[in-house]
Amino acid sequence: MQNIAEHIVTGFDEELNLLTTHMARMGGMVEAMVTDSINAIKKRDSVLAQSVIDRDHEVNALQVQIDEDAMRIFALRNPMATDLRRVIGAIKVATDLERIGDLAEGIARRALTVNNGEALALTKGVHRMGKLVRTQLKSVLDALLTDDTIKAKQVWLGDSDVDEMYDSLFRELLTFMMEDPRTISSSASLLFAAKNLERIGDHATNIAETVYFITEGSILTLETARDVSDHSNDE
Amino acid sequence: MNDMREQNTPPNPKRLDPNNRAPKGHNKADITKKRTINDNTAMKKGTRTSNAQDQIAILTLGNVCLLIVCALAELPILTSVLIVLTFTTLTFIYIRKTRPKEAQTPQKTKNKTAQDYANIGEARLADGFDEAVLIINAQNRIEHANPVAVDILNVKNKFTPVMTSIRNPDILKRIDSALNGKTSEPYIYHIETPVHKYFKVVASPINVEDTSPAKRRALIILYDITDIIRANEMRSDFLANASHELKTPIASLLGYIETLQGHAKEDKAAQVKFLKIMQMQAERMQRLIDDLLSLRRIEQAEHIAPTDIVDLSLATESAIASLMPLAERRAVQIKFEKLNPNTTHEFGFPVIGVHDQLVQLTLNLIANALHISSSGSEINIILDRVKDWDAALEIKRKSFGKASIKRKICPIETLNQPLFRLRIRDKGRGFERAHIPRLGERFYRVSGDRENKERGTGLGLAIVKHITLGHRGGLFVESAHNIGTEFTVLLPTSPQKPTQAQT
Repeated sequence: MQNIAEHIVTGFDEELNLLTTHMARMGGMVEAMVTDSINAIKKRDSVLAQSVIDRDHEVNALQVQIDEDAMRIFALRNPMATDLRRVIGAIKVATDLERIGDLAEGIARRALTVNNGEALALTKGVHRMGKLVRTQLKSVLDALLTDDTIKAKQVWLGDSDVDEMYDSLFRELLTFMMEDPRTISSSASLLFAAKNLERIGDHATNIAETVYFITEGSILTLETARDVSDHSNDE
Repeated sequence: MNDMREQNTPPNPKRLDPNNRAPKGHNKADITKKRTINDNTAMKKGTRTSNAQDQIAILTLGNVCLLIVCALAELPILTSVLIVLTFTTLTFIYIRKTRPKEAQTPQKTKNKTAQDYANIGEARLADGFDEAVLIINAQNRIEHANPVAVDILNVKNKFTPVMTSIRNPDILKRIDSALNGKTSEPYIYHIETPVHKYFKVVASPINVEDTSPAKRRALIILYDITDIIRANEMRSDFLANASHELKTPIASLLGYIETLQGHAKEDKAAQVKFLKIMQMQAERMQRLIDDLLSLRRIEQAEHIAPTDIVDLSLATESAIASLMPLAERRAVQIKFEKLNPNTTHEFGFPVIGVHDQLVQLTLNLIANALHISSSGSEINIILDRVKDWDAALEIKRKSFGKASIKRKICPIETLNQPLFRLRIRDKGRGFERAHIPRLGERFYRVSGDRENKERGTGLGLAIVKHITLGHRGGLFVESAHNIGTEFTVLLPTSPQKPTQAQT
């Protein structure tokens, strides 16, 4: 089995595969950064926060790597159809992931500030929102690596949940700041962290669109999301 | 054994390049009996192919020699050609006679090399494990995944890069070092969705030390340690939740007791009133403990998918039956509608699940609906079967028009089979927009909801959510302020009949 597979895999396949591999690695790193940055706030762990900040350059390096891989494929292989979309998709996804990495780094920096102040009950809300965003990010990366457009669509539609949660958290934090002005600096930091999470959610949505584009070749809009299986459902 | 191999096998540049030669004094524990057998087959094969090559070499050498002799003897060209041809034919006949039997049918056995046999052996060994086992090759591709691993990591094809299944950078680092011949510390891998799972991941090399980098492989084992970790986590969660939530009612109980002992000692009317409040508080505490315990039970078994086949409509009916008295008291009508367009399912609505949990799920949702319904209104329960469920359509489908908000509380993972959809719709006051994102959260109670604050524990929906997760289903909520609320539960259908009749 092994020998056969080794021979069938052409150089081009190997290169496309390398692209997927790098994307997966980058996705994994970014996922871990987001998780750790939220945990740094929840557990008041400044060492963890610092480690997130230190990891950002690795993600950036991988983005450069993916861009180079893609460029080489364009230059040498002249990709067509799905392959072409896959390579373009990789570039787009890498950009989104790099931004997510930056946003996670931002949360980690905020965590350092929050951890310097007094413990706030409100970090719970950020943690809750973090969990939702993390689920979105995980699902979209799963969708990306298994070409699962249904999953991608679920992520895409789930973004409104993230937005609603952000609004609710925003109001909560505002009330908190009005009640006790001493917590303003910590609360403001949490507000920024929540904003970053909301934007991570947006980037996850972008990736979902890219996944859809790679497989279907068309743009995912509210209309296409709804029309796809309108006829097959009994509603 | 290595010495034997080197003596028996004539030097063959193709098979025994210096990199491939077995190490002089390897005493590594991971070289098992299996590997010895592989080496033996490899040895035999090496002898055979090298014999054939030797014979070809002899043939060419002999021919060249003959040609030179002919040239020296100044024989005519025709004669020398004839001599050469005769020699070649004779040698061929000789080779065919002396060749070992198996070499005469090369095409069929050639497909499987000794390495393939080794791989098949390893794969079978891996399949025998209860834990998830992966074999990764030097190109970071999954060479083999045993059934447990396929299930847990959702491995679609052989030879896909391992990163498509495991992205965690810490595990990838361990795989890399295992491919470089190093074993690293085990790593605790936490999978959060759809249900929490914990694995101890061990990556170790499965090669002798000087295998060439391109041939190196690694063995990954994921030990499921969810039970241990969750048990610990839940114990501490339970303690924290219980102590925090019981603090308030106990404080208020103590307050009333103090008052009763103090200045309300002689006040009969106040005593009756206070005792009634105290009873309510104590009852709430009891409910809280019950809820916490059942939540813990559900969460504990959440990572194990249920196996029983039960009927969802029966579970719903028994929940309705037990809520009938309350509904009658509040003058709320409960209407249960079963729509099953598929007539082949004469046995109703079979799902893979736990009957008691499904009763609790429907009970909690209907009880919730009852509490927020005003008297005289009605609750509609609709159970149907959806063949091609679609997230987009689910979000789009709204029972209360444009003003309502719909969100998923837990997403659904199993989409490859038809689903049963249970909708519980009330005409109560609905939730305000700000509360909807937080529904299903533990101890979250809608503020300003005085009556509910007294009654509810804030755990009802959390229990519903965890039962849905445990059943690998989905949960959606739609609500419009002052119009109504609808909860939608989606559960995967089971292909078989119910195993036992429920009552």
